[in-house]
Amino acid sequence: MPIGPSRPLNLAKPESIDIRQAARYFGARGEADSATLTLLEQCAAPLLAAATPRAVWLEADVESLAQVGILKGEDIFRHLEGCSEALLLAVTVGPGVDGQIRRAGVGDIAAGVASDALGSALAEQAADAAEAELRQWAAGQDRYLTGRFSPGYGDWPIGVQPLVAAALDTARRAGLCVTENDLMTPRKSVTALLGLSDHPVKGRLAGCGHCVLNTRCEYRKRGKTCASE
Amino acid sequence: MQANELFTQPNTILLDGGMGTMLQAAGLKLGARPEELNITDPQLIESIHSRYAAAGSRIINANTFGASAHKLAGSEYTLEEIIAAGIANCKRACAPYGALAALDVGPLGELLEPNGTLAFEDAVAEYGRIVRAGVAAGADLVFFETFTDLYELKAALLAAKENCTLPILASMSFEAGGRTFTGCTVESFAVTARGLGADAVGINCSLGPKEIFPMAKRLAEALPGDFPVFVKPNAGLPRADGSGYDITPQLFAMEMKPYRELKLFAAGGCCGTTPDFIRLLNGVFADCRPGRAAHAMPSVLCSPMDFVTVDGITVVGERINPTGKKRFQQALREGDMNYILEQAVSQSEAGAQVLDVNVGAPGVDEPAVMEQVVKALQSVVSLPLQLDSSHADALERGLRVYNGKPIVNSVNGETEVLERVLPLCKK
Repeated sequence: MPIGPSRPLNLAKPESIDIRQAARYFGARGEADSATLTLLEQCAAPLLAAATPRAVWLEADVESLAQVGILKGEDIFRHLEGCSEALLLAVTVGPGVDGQIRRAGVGDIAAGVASDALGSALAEQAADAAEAELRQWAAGQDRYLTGRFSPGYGDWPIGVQPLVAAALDTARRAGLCVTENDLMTPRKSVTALLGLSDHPVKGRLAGCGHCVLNTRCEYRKRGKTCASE
Repeated sequence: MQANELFTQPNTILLDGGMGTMLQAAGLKLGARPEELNITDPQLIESIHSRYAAAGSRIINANTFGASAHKLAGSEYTLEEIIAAGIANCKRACAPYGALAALDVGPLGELLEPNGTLAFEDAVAEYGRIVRAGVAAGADLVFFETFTDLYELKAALLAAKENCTLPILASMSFEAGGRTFTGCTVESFAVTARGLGADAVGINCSLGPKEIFPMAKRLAEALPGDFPVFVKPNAGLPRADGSGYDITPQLFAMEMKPYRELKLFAAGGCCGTTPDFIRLLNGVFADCRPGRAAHAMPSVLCSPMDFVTVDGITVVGERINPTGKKRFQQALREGDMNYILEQAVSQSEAGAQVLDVNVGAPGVDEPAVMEQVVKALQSVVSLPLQLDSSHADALERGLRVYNGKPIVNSVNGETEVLERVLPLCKK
């Protein structure tokens, strides 16, 4: 299997947004206070109503992905150690979420920022749900997956985003495009790679050494890492 | 057939089927740009067109779907070179059959503002470049297809009207829920595309004939009986294992039979369909005369997501109007968009069906502000707008950037005023 065709993945909309995760993206340290939780909860219903989650994925061998330029840097190869194949995934919660974030922010900046955080949490939930489907698929074939690793994490550059989108045909299949500056639109979208192997594999977190935020990371300033909190 | 005879044919015309499907079967590699084959392997492209023409297709789409600057970034060929070669390949294949060669144009591959970063006028300019290249290469018509954003389709249609006089076919792709990825409804597409000068409208891609049928019916019902409608469904739905689409040419033909009642102007196929699929459509549409019975056309207005039929009392929010409101006038002069948007959101939440937009006040550059306010409003509310101005330039700027079909308000019946404003409405 060089690089397989893009496949649809049916994603159900979650019943609710993970408010704790949203509070973390909103900037809450530790437990969020009740005013923050109330604001997030108020903004969550219209945001969830505006969401239209979609996902596509494909199966490919690692060598072919490297050949077309999707794999770059060192961290992604470390993550894929022991895997000759991988799954490429794209998930979006749709343009309606961006619209609702804009609308919530009219006359109420806090509600806009809260909605933005909720949108990020929702995209993460959609990516988790997609990953769970892929794990089930892999288990059905007695194969194993690493965790998700996304462009922009460690030294895997977001510059690969247009190639990822092209391989998955995301514009046609999910309405997901990449801007000239390699940003995804709709904004609340996730792309990721999961190593695929016939024996159990764990993958490797990138660590902070190669991270572009290495010197200005909010977590590191507090003696933590983004993976530990 | 000549291009000017396109809409007077006695029978439903056959379109072609999938190009990507055929190229993948011929071994197209991932990451390769299919449009470059117009130059690097013209025989292959011409032979695919010829097979469709031989199967009965009388409008053949040139291999130019992705010939846009964004999608060709990094290519050694310009979009003009790719389009010239693509149209030439297509015309050679069409000639023996009297078929027409269409400049096939897809989305640019970037989302427009506000969801993306591409400015509306930049999109119009890019489509203008594509259309001019097609005209120069001798295309017989322009075929916009697989659009999912009504605003992008508007940019494309404006560019086509401003750069050519060829017939224009416009088609969008809808999901199973009857909306595109960006939430546009079938009806909003129908009235907006017709209003902007598309000569025929259709639905392509995404789904198979069975799933598209109810939407095609809605499309036909939203248009006058004599307005041409077409479809290009996929070969069913994609298989879960990614190995293609799930119906055979025979099943496709069977599922296309109900479309006879829609008296289509044209029919063909999209992803997964091949010349075998098209060949069987000859029988399906034998003796099928285009054109439906005339029916009453209500007054309607729309945004992509909301469609309002004016057949009773319609609630128009009139708060976006500075007359007698000092705070509003100040907001307009200071460019305080937030204040104006708050008025829009609160009226929307209070149940308005349409929002009137009036930005005329002393010291305000009305045309510039009208454009700015229309863009800002449609980025946060989905209600259709009613552009309210006695200033023709302000109406022109507002109408150009409005996404959908609006109402124009505050036009009096004086001949001079009507002569200035009615052509703007028509455009």
